[in-house]
Amino acid sequence: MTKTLPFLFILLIACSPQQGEKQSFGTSSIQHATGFHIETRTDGRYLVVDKPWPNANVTKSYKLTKPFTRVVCTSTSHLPYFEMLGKSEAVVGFPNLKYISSETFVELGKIDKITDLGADGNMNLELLIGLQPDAVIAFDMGGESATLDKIAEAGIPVIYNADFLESTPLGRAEWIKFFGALLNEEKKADSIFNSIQSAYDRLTDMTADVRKRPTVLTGVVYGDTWFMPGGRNSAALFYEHAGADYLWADDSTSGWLELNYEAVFERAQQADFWIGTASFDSKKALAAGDHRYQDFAPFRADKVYNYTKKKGPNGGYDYFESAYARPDLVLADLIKILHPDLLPHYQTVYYEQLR
Amino acid sequence: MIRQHFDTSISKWRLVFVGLAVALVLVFLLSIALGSVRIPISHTFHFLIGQPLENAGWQSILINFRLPKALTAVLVGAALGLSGLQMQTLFRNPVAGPFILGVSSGAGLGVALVIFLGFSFGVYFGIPDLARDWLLVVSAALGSFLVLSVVGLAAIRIRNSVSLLIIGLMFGSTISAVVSIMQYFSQAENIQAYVIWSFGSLGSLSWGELQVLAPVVIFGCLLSFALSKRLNALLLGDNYATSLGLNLKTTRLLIIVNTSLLAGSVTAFCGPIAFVGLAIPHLARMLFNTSNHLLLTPLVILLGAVAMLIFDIIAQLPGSDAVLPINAVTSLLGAPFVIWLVLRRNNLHYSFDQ
Repeated sequence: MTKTLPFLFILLIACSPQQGEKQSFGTSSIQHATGFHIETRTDGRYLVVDKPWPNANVTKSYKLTKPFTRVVCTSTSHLPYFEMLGKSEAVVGFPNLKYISSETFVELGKIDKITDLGADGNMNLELLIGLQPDAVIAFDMGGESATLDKIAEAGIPVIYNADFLESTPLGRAEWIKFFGALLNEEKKADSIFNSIQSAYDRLTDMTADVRKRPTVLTGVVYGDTWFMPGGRNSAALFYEHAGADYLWADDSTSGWLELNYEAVFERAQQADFWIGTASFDSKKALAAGDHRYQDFAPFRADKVYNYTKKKGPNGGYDYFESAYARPDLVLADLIKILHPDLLPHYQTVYYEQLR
Repeated sequence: MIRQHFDTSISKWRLVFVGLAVALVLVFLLSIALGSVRIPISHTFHFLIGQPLENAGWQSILINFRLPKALTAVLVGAALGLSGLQMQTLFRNPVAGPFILGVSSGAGLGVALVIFLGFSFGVYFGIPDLARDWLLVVSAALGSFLVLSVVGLAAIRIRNSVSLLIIGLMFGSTISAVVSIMQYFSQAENIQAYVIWSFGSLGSLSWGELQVLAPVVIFGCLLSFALSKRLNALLLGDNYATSLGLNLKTTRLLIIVNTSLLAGSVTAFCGPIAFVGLAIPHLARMLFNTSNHLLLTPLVILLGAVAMLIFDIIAQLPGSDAVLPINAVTSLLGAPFVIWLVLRRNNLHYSFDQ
């Protein structure tokens, strides 16, 4: 993150002239995110998570009293928000520090400011309870996690974060306001999000009238199944906003399609670009993974790109950690790939061309 | 009189084998003709008689996707069926099979070692494809051999078939634990390569990989034919087999090597595939009412190939873009079959009781 900051400010300043308008928003009004909101009741203000896990039919409300200063996070994608809000030291525990890419948090881990709570799934509960954090920020896929129940039983509040359920890039990034509310940095969160949003909107406008919209393929095959983002998945929106013609844009689902390899081949063999190839970071590795990848036109034309450019000190890809918080950077990267003439001087942050 | 009986028997078996062979050819053609992408049957026919298709995409789908997948299904069905058959006879246990006795886990350990060590020394993608394929086969076969040998040693000491199964299961879970500890200590990209493997897949083999798998499986099939008489003798009990002049140690070792090769090579390339190895031999015994390995060996090869092709056709959900994991299909159809076997327990020990 630290490396990208100078560059990000250049981009933001360049892209957001309407600075005055933003100041008029004093309160957290949520524009894109659909999973949470902040409401004022007679007894105080509440952070309400409307859909704490997939297909949840309950909501979770958290009264905002004193700001949290000691929290445990459970996903690396939560960490950038702390860093952006200047509250990195509020994170005191994390399951498996090895997965962290951010240098700030890796350093904090090294000087024991962050306790390693062990492999996720089996968090070391004794260590966790010993830490006595103000809260655990968790995510859950089904609403019945025994670990989370145990934590709650021990009297530590469990706060559900469901940013991964958002269906738009900006909606997911707006969860910075969720962290802003918990850390008493709402104004800062608002202003950061507004900058990201206006940068994102500017970039989207740039591609609105591109003459040619190149076709895009994404993903790799797992076993016999090619997991492809549905046409309403936020990945598909990224491609649309970047001025591409996503080959599965006609699909109407927001999750993932499980496609047959030959069906993918039939539709995408002549794609212009192939963007996002899991952990394959070279064409050689890709061809060794499955020989038939070489039959796709973008492979032969050297138009394969992956989010493997930025690696953390432990070898993880920073894309999975920080990109959700910075959709403007992801979009700029994609535009640089798809329409390089629109951003002639830009250097990509996450994406690189595979060779 | 006896002569007459013998003749009818021969003509009956001739009919069975011709029928199965015809079925195999039909299902094979069906598997090539059906898939997510609708390719008109006339084009498939043109392709099969060697005419190039106008649509290069279809040509590529048939030659690079469907044909290797169908061939893989045949090899996998035959190999897993045979290894199941021989394990059941060797351990004199009707529920033995590569998946249950921990042999697939052993193969998985071999594969995991190659992947994780290969990645941590940064050489995995540097190894030439052919060498890597052989390395995977050999290590998976060694992993299987290790597990089978230990289970085999235990089998000599413990006659109780339930105890044997428990040992196999324990072995399987110990090895899974070792693999998950290895995963814990390795980097994200190695894990992904291993996870992709563990999904199980018939459709991911290249022609180059088939050139490794096919000779191994064909060798295993030939060895199985050669072992059929010894397997028959084993069915009669150890004492009887020894009195027939059978060297028990060599026989056991040969069977273990053969099943390790068959199950190991298939598992190396296709991942763990459940239930086929267990169910096919029972199907063969029940449908054709024989426990003679001279007949069972070809029966299991043909039945296994036909069944695997059918499983694969179902997994492809022809006409839709979606695909089911092959393991889901084999388990979905295999598990009820095993339950049914257990419910018909009276009939289960027929060829193992002495």
